[in-house]
Amino acid sequence: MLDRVVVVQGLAASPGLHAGRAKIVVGLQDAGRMMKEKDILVTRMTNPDWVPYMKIAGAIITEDGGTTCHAAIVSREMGVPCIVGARNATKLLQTGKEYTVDAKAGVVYQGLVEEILKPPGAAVQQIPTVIPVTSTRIYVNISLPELAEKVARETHADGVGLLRAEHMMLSVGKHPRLLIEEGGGQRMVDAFAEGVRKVATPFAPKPVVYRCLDFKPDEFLGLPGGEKYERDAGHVGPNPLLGFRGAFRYVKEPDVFRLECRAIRKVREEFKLTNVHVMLPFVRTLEDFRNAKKIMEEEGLKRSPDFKLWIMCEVPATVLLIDKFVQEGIDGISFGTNDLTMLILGIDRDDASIQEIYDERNLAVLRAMSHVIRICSEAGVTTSICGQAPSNYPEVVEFLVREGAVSMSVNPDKVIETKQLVAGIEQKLILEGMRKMRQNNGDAGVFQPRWPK
Amino acid sequence: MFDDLVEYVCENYSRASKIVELGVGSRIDVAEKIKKSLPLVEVLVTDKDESWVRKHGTGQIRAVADDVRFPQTPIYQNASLVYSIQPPFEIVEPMILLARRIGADLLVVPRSDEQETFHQNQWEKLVRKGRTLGWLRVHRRH
Repeated sequence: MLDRVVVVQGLAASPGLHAGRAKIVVGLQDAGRMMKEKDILVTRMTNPDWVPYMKIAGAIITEDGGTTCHAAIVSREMGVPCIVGARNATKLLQTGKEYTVDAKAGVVYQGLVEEILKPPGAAVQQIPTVIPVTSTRIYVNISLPELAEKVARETHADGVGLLRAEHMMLSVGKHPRLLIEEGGGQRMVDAFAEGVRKVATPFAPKPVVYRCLDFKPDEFLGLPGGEKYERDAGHVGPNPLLGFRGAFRYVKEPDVFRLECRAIRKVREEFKLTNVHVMLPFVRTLEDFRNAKKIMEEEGLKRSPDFKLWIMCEVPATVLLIDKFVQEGIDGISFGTNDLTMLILGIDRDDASIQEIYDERNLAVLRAMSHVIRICSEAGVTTSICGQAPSNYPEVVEFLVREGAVSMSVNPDKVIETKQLVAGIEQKLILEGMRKMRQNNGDAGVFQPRWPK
Repeated sequence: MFDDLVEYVCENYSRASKIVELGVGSRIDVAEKIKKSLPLVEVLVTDKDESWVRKHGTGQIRAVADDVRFPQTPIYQNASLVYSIQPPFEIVEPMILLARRIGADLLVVPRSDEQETFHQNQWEKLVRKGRTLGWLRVHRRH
């Protein structure tokens, strides 16, 4: 017979179950005094000042708010069960009493309800996923800073190999030139710095590679000001993928690029997150690279053992001149296989009629990557990949490991899978190496155990 | 911009009872154009960010604050199509789950450097005038 007494109901904002003692907290000063680890925090509504207490709470219940209020969003990011809009919760619940919070159903029960906390069959042990340690570092690609903490916690990625800036720009909600025209450049600096901070904090001290804004001109059109500063300015050509973008754009529009640089400097110097590094996308010529680097240095982002500058390797010119780029001064490269394949094979990625021959595994693309990895390895420059190829094709993963790529960066849902795959490949390589050594030493083909005498 | 998308939706979902744009962000012009072409269809836009939603609500289009990762399913009930323009790839999976749950088609127009994420069997590439328009998953029950 189930004996459940519902005390309070509300909206399920962050799913999960928790049983513990309630603490009715009206003001922040009470929170510091009352809240203990795993207590159920019950209050009217939270704001960013409450986060330290939300972090230690076992569950959170608020009287006000909907599923997109502060408590809901933060609790979901933290993975803490949360019910919002629980009317009169601060009156109906009592400090010190035990309750069971079912934040999947949005219900709080009196006391400890065992059948909820330990449903039938819960005793069956789940086999934990084994996350192997690999020599090849497996990074993760991130677009949405709000999810970074969850991604860091759940994937055990070795860092962020591609932090995209485009969705930060969409969040700001205006074309950067319009922002500058309205005197709102600092708004962009602050918004970008905050976005990068959200990613760099949960991953620290692991590296986070921020890729500078790489909107194609037509992708800016959706933002207020986009028509004026892209189409009217003549930036939207017949093929935006080959147009006004990447390092060339930074040099032509240094005022926008400088805002990004200031955001990164703010993260590194004000927030003390020195694990943040920068990657320049779509570098076509040495001159563009040199000039973009100069602007970065003027903004206080100078290469050092503590600050790394990467470029994306996605234009054939970068492949052919990789030795020159190394001499010019880079710390790392990351293959953007989407554009690299497009440009090596001469396929417009947006043209549907020729997609059947688009293939990142084409020998020409593999040879290009092999060449770059070899030159970079000799010079001590790190090599990575952030395109989709490793996620789509396991054979590309094996190719990169064999060639000596230092890391690869994949989408969050592929990190653990890729780590397991890479671990297997690395073991295979070790075995192959050992066999080769034995053959070179003239050992017999059949293993002869040496028993202790 | 996105006129091809509007045309496609109007040609293929003219009998829908409801169409929802997920993660509307700063732009509502696509939803407005769809509503203008399909005045009998309920067009709804959602976003996690309440400030965008407050900005967008019009007499013609309802705007609702909702996080697609934790959707309030009744909002989407009876939709024939949910679509999203340039969403962060992290929320595509929750969109798939939502669309499947409510039995609606899902149409995603990704950013150009995220196209390759959709090169999987379950996604159907939509082509219009020789260009890739977006990617579709069919779950429609309505």
